[in-house]
Amino acid sequence: MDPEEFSGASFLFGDQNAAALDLFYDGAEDGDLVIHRVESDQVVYKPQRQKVKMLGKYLVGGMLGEGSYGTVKELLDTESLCRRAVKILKKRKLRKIPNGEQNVRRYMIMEYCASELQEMLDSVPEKKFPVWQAHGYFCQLIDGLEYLHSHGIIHKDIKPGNLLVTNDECLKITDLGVAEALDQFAWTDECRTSQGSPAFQPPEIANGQAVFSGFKVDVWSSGVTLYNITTGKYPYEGDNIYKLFENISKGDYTIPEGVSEMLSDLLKGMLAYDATVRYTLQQIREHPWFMKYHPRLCARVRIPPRPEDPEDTLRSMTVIPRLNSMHYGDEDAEEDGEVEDHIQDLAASHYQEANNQNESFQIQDHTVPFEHQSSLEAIAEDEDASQGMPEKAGAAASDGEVKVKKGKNRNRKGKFSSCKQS
Amino acid sequence: MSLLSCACGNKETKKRRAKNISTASIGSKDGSPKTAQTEQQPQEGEEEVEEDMEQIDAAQVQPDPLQYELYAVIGKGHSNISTITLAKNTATDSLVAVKRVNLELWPGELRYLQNEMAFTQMLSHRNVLPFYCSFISGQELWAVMPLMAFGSCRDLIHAYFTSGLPELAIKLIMRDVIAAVDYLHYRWVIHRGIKASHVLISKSGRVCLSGLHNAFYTIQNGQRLRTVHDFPLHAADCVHSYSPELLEQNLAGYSFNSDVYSLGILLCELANGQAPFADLPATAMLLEKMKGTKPHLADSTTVSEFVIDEDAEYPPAEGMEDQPTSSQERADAIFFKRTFAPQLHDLAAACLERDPHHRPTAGQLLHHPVFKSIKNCASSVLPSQLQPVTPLTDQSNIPKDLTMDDDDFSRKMSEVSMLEDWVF
Repeated sequence: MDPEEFSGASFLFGDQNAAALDLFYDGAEDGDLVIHRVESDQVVYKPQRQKVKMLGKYLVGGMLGEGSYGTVKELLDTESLCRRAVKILKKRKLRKIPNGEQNVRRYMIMEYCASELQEMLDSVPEKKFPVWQAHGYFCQLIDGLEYLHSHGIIHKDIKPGNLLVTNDECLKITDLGVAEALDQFAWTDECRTSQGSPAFQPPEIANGQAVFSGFKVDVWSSGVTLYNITTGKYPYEGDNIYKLFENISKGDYTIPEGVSEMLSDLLKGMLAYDATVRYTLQQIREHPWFMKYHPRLCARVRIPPRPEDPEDTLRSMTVIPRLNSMHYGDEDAEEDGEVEDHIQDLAASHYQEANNQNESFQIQDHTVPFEHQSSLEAIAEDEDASQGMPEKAGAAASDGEVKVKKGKNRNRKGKFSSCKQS
Repeated sequence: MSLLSCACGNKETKKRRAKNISTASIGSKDGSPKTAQTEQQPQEGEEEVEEDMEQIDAAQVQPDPLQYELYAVIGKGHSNISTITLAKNTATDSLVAVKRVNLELWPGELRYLQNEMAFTQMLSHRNVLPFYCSFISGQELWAVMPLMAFGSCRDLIHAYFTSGLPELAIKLIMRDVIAAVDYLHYRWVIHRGIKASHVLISKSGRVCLSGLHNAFYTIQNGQRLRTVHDFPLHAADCVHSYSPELLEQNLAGYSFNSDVYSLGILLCELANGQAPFADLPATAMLLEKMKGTKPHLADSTTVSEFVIDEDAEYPPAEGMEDQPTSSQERADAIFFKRTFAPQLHDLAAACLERDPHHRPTAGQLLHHPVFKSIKNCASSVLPSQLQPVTPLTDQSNIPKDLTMDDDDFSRKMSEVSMLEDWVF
């Protein structure tokens, strides 16, 4: 917390009177441990605090996800003790958004979500949910989408990677980075641009139509999402974006065997080539598959443990070790003989620090489009969306102080993601 | 105005509900000593008697602000936004407490207030604080409640029992609070805010649990939830009584036994005069609970340990070193002189189990051996145990004078010490 106390951690070993070792890690270089010998009288004990970072009243915890836009980290509200998440945008990304540096703050504080659908899908070999579980998520998705549409917001990037799941299995639509807010007085839902993930784009976009219905774009991508989470496949695939769009514009897709009559009927309705005959949200709601009760015949796909900590099946707070050093200094670490781990942590945190302070230092491979979109892609939040979202539908409630000032221009983020999915 | 309809749900419905709820009786508002029944299961309450009392209440208490003469503010609630006022019901010439909330100034969602009203109407148990009626008057929401003349347990601790209540009082209070919690759980409600300032005591020694604004109804959308993940955001003052699993906010969630942990915290608060970890910042409290540090009752069997704990566990962390050691030492001296029954220690230990699955349920706690010793002890004994603190009504028998001399009254009030919030 305090930069003065930042000058390397001091660890005391063994007898105080004997010479003590001061190990410290030089953050800039990878993996090199520099061991200095320091006489005991030179050792000044300083409480080890570098791991504790505060963001206003929030204590910053571990990483939840990473993407091209920046990172998502866990937070702890030190007053209410509520878990939160923060999306930290990279300055470079901000610069790409016209007026981004003025309009968009770097930190967006959001509700904490345990996982995202894509991560859950990836955790099982068949890459799909049991029908009843998919149905539960799908109903919530339609609820949320209806809410967004009622506010004149077209999401344009519905896909499992943008659907988060809270601790209590409540689905949250997120990442309104490419969303478009219709004009308040607009007569129709006409849109002209879309930068969503290619595999989830409807034929009218693949064909390059100048004007298309925005709501129906979301219906299509929800259809692809439903197809994906129930079958584990995509209706349209292609080696690259051109092949993919070619296939989409051909309009040939097959529904795999084993999909019930009712579901395939719904999918056909949602993936109708002609946007005018494609289902509306209301038609989806009235569809028998939507209304049917689906018995829980097989076990649910559970939220997998975090990759960093496979033993933590409950996805517990990552701030606890930081709280420890916040309140008890590094004594505990020494006592517990965790010095090794500690140093590694230190290294990591040093490295992060460097990254955060010196953005130009950052190297990320953008040659492969959107390689980095795998994990918690984007918990982007729009002010519009965060205002009084109902529990089910809500992308998270931004926490007031740190908010995105919405500019429509943010649409230009230009994200052709997930080509590799096919 | 859905709030109105919710808050002022008519008496008919209330009576019908009361019939459905097979349990327990609301004592008359001056707290009739129907205490011999406390040991029984709440379900065995006498319905007829209860019915009668409901009728009396309904007839006497009208949702009409003109019916109440307001005297003095006796407490604040909801982080000082609501005020608790001593008032006289002119129809019956009896004293009541009126909670008033200015809805215009209410910062949060009204749902939160509605929650409290709805729960209070839904529940009926002699140890759960009832509202006689609630209504909107101008900009204010009024809730008329029985006057709990001894105030909350927090007030008692503040006024006199700074290092804990007498053992018998603790047992009597815990018995009634556990009965209330057992009832709430039986109605599928998790209280989530059990702490000393939510435990109120009437003139006759009837113990009432209040603070239902933080409660959670585990039946949602027609389905009973096995585990709950909802994190209560609106009650930062309750954070210290939360169970570790509630604070953890992970995939496991929490359930009814979260309240049992809070009962353990309440027990410690009543016995030690201070809730465990209350002097620590919220984050340090969280850390201690995550580590599984088990609070305990301070007496001769634990106090030496207690002192060492103090030294060892709370090194010069922030905010700790400025604590005057003298008061701590004085408290330790008092702690050292007394010895609680081993069963009471056992009760605390059982409640404060870190693993929720190892905790007993509230129903099991009612049969805990600690309550055997007070089996024949009615809660009407409680006021005698609380001496020298006197109930509010003893000092305010002449309401006319009070209206004239507000200052004098508030000085008298300060003797009962209302410095601490009444958090209803």
